[in-house]
Amino acid sequence: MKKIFCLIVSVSFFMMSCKKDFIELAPISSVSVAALFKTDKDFQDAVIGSYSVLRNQYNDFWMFGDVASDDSWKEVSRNQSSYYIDVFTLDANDALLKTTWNNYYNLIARTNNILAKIEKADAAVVTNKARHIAEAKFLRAFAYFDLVRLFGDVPMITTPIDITEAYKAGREKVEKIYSEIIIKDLQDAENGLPVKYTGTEIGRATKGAAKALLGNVYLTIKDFPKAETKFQEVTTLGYALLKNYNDLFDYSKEEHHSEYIFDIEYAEALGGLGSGFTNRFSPLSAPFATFYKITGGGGEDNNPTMDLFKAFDPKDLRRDVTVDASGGFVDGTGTFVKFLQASTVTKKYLTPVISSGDSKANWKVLRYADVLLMYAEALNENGKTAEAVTYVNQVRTRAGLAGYTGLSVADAREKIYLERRLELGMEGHRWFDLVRTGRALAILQAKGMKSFMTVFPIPLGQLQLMNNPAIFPQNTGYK
Amino acid sequence: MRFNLPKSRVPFHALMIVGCLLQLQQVNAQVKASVIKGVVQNSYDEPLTGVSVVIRNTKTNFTSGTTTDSTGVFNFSRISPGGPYSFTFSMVGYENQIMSGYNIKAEIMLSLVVKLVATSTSLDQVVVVGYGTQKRKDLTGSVASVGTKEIKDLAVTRVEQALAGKVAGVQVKAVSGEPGVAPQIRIRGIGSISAGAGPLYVVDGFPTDNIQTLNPNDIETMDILKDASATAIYGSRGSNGVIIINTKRGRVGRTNITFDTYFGLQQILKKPRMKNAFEQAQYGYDGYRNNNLDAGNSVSGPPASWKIAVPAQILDVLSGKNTYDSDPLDEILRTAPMKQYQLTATGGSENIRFALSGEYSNPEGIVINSDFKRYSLRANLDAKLSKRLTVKLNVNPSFTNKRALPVYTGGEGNFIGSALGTFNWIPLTDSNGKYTNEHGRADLSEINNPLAVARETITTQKTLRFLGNVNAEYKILDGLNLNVMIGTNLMSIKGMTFVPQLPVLLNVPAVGTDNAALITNWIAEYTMNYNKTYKKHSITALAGYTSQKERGELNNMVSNKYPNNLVPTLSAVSGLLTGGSSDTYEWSILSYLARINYNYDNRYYLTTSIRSDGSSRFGSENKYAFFPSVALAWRVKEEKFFKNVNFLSELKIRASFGESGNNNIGNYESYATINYEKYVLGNGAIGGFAQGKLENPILTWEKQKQINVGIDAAVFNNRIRLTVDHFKSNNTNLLLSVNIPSTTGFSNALQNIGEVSNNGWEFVLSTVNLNSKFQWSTDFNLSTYRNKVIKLGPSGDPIYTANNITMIGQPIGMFYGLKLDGIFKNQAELDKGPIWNPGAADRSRVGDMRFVDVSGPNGKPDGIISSADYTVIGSPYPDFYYGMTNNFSYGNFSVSVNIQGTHGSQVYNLSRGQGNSGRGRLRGYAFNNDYWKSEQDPGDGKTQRPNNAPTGGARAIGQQFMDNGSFLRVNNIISGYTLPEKLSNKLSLNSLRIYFNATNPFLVTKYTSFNPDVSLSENPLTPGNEQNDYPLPKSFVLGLNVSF
Repeated sequence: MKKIFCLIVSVSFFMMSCKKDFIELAPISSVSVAALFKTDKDFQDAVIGSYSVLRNQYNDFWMFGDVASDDSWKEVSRNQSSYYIDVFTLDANDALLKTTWNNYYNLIARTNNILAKIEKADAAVVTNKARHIAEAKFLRAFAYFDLVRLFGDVPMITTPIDITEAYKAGREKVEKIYSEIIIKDLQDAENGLPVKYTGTEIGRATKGAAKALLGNVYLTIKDFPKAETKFQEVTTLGYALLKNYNDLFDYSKEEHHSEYIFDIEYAEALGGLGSGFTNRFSPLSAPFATFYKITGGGGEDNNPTMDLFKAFDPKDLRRDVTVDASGGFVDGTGTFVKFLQASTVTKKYLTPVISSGDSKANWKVLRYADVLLMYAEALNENGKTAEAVTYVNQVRTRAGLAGYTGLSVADAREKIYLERRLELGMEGHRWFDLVRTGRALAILQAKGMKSFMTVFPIPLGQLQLMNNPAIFPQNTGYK
Repeated sequence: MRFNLPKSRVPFHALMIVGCLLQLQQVNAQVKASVIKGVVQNSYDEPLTGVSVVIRNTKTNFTSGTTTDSTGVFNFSRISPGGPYSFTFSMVGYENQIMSGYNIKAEIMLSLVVKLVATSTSLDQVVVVGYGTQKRKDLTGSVASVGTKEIKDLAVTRVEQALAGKVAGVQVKAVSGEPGVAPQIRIRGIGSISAGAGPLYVVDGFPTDNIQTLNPNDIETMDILKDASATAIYGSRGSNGVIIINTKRGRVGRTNITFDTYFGLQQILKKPRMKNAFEQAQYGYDGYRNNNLDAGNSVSGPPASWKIAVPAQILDVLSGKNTYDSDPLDEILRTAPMKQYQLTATGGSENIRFALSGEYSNPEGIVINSDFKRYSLRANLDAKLSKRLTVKLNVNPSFTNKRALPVYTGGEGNFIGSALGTFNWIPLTDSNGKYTNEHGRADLSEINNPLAVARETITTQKTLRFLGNVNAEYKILDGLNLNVMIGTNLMSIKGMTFVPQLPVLLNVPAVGTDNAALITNWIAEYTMNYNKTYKKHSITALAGYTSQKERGELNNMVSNKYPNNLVPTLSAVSGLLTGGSSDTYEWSILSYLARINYNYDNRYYLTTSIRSDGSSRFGSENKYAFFPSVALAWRVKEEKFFKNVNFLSELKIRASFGESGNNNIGNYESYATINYEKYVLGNGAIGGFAQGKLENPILTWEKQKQINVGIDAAVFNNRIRLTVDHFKSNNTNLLLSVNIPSTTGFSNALQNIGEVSNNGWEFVLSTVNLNSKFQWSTDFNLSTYRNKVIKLGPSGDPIYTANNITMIGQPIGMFYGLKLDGIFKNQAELDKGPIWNPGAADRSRVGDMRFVDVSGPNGKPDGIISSADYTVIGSPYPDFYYGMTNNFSYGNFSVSVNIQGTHGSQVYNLSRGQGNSGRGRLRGYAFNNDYWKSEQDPGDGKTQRPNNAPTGGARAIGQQFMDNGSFLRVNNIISGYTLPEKLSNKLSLNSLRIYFNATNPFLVTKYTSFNPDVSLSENPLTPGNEQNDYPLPKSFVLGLNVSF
């Protein structure tokens, strides 16, 4: 009998491992970040991980770009970020600001991590080292460009930091961020990125995207000669306007066409990789949702204004897709069905949606018409008005409108501004254009804008965490 | 001729209690052989069936065993004269009785009458504490017990349900009526904010957090360790309390075969009164009318042509064109059968004892298409392999098959909510049985037809489990034993869901999932026990080492690429999966433990213990934790000056202090692991990664310190017993997600930073009210706890979670929103304010709710209702909760009534959102039918007007959605009848008992929905929320126990 006992004891001892190892169990289905950033594939995957932040951030970007401007408003319900931003009462504690700040610094940290790790990588192992660096820098510049335009001075983080260092990172001047990061990063990016991708690479940042973005940066800081150069370079890269304006918003067609330069990519039915635009911009109308096959119905969050509608010439082929002001729709039987509440709707993101918030519609960040109009703006500011007007007219002709002739510099400036509003309406440009060109206050005062509101408040949570007004103050005017 | 027991080894103090009940009769008769006969009775002179009787000749080592028959009689024939002989009597629920020193003369017939004392009234009842046992009188900590007597006849599926209303300090919340779903158990308040607040279960020595597959009929005892001196021996897993479960074991004697079965019918316990068709239509109509009036539209013409038109469906009901009026809830509810069959065999010899059982249990759900089945087997063997070595083997394979509530894919709320929300004028099917489409209607919000969801979708989960351990006890010396236990817990889970593509479900492509998990857990444990009594000193010592490891392998697959609805498994999607993952995790724990129990003269007691836990979950710089405890007790009753106070049966004072912990902190939270990310490239998904969180090498367990003081008193020969406990606990190092500057790339990090405290009182009063042929006893318990948050993250900011707030100085998860102050009955009242969103389209108007102007943006009331007016508006916690069991018996009849209740808690009733916000787009509760109609007709003066576009903050978080959560529920009324032995003998049965059990027959509450005993989730931050929970059933059960 003792034998049995001894057997039990020895079997159980056999089951036990050495004590120290026994409680040292590393993750199995994830891995410590330290184990990565070794191979070319690791870096490529880390870059994908960086892009993915933009997918989240740009789902809400229209609130800044359009709702804050005079192009769009939150017509119906009155207790959401999109309403407060519309009437300039967005609280510093609003979740929109918090997630925006978090998203961009998350993207910056991810790209900083890549750039820090790739520095020592052997180019023989990490074969696409140059491209990874260029892509990471493009994305980092992209994040900082949005950040300074939204918040003004922000912390300038260029290497991975820990919590202690984060508490010491104060806000840096916008100018410094432009000169030390954004422009330098984009210059590196335009050199390191390929002109074109094919197959499963389509959607990554290209040379054209980097140049166009850099042009936009120069335009924003009013360095018009440099802007002109960059946009001119873009025109040599083979982009062309689509023949039919409405094809830009026909999602049954390929979104990566000759006019596409850089999109935030979304696709349906891939397990949460779709966008929310179709649902959120649709009216709260079950018949509309049924007719257009929009599962989950509409959110009525982004209604184009009558002001934008009236800015169009009735003959403008771009009007009806940008603003449908009929207050309803015509169903399959030819009957006009009135919306319950909303009076307008934009059809730029209209496509059947299989599951709610999972639309295939991309967010267009840069397209060729945008570049042509920015190019025209730069040329005009550099005194080359006649040449500028030719690019404006390319855009107008496609919209079924007559071209301009014989404009003064001042007239041309106004016409270019107007053309941008009409061409790019409801695509997230208007607010930034108004602020960039110094017209925001005059136009938006009636909605409640005050002079200090060209930037948004720093998220309250970050201010409270930092708790150091000397290096991390709130933006002037905000509580 | 009667005389007292001649010789006994029972200690004198025990004899005081037992002696008068233990009698022996010797009867002379004409004898030709040595025969020993006897009858065993309980203290009410009733015969006890199935008592194990063992006779032993200590000189010759002769041993023989038998059991008593249905008349309580046992019989040994042909016993050799000589001796000394001893008799051992044992039976579950009764004190073991040893009678020794009998010298049997030749040719005499010895007749014995033996009385056994029920353990529940005995201070010598054995209580299972961590890694050992103690007698109740020797306890120094706070430990409660529930035995077979309290469990039998309950007709419950889950073991946890048997604790409902039975134990002070243990809150058992019947949160769901779904078959096979456990109630939520909280022991002594809430000691964690994010790491889980459920207790640890120890089944036959095996620690586990899941007892889903356990059969309640197999349970012998459940001992609940409450104070930290008792739980400290479980270290980093003890702070939420420990429930030790031991299963039934075989006893020496004749093999006893029993068959138990019950059959019952269940129905919804409380069906809320919803608006009927006309009431709802009127509400909807008035809502559209008010909406038009608010918008300045004329309401003079026909309602169908108002600017905001009243939907035709509403007008049809009002005009009498549509007279259909049927509650859709009735279509998804049913009278559901429940049944169980169990066959048990117990018995054994001195050397091998066994308890074998097989069970099939099938409670069907009262909501259609929900069902739970369990098949389980148990074999418990005890083998005495030698004088020194005893081996116990416990094996428990089981299989459960659950059909859960359907997946709900579209529209508002959930599946039950869609049945609550559908108007009475909408038939769920047309005359051809075709489902009514509830989408795209002008009168109704977008919801799925509940009948279609219930019938057409599939959600199943199957669990195969094997729980087994072997325990070898080796007696090294007298009083020194070595115990080795090895055990395993294997679990295999398989689940699937399928939602077909149907027009009535929005024609969304069919989607199916498939998931599986394999969890292996094993333990090896070595403990050494030492017992020594020297004069008046008594010492018990324990030292041990235990290690446990778990590995889980889980995977799931999803696809919405089904070609049609014909095949629900993923084989149909041609390999086109749209999602899926497979994960493996491990955790391990390695511990040393020691305990010393010392007492002097059964008067002064000291218990001290220590445990050290090393865990894979702790950060690399914090690998080991130490958990000490100390407890003292003084049995005042044993003092000389109390010895002569005869009416006093017990008086004991206890005090304890201990530390324990909570290691549910995640398996790999200290590591800087990566997250897998996706982006779209080339119009397809492409995978990538990013660092998921910051490294935290100092991550550690949550700590609890608890003080407990208690008193146990009993008078009049234990007929009245009282236990009072008071505890204070402080939980520190609570795991919280702390905000950090986002410039790190992360907005939060998990840190051990929070602190909460709990304190409370527990009262247990047990009385034997009548003790004659008619017997009546009462057990009553009442408990309180007060929870308070002491510390949150670095800045102390509150944690907001939907309708709850967790803030310093308040209990965790108080309700947070606007305080209601009636309605604006007229313009004059409205003019006084305060106004919701002044100037806006949804501003307050006459007939709207008036909220309390608590504050404003500048910290002062400003006449405006905004988020600045949010305040604590109620508590999900009861002032006290209680339970009471009354047992009556007369002859062969018995009745037992158990009630349970709470007082002072509130419920945030989210399912009222549809009926109490003014918007008539979903069916509402009828309680607000007497609403404001006009200044002349303000209704009951406290119910706001309906409004299709709610104004005045009607949909803000506030007291308008709160309900009184107090209730008193009769959990069980059980009446049983045991067939007289003559009759059962005629049927050649040992015994036959039938019982009738009414479960949840009555519920007294002001709560408006199904069940006030709510908890939407396990998350401690969001207590007291209700949203279309699975309704609780009441059931009527007929049961039968037959013994062969």
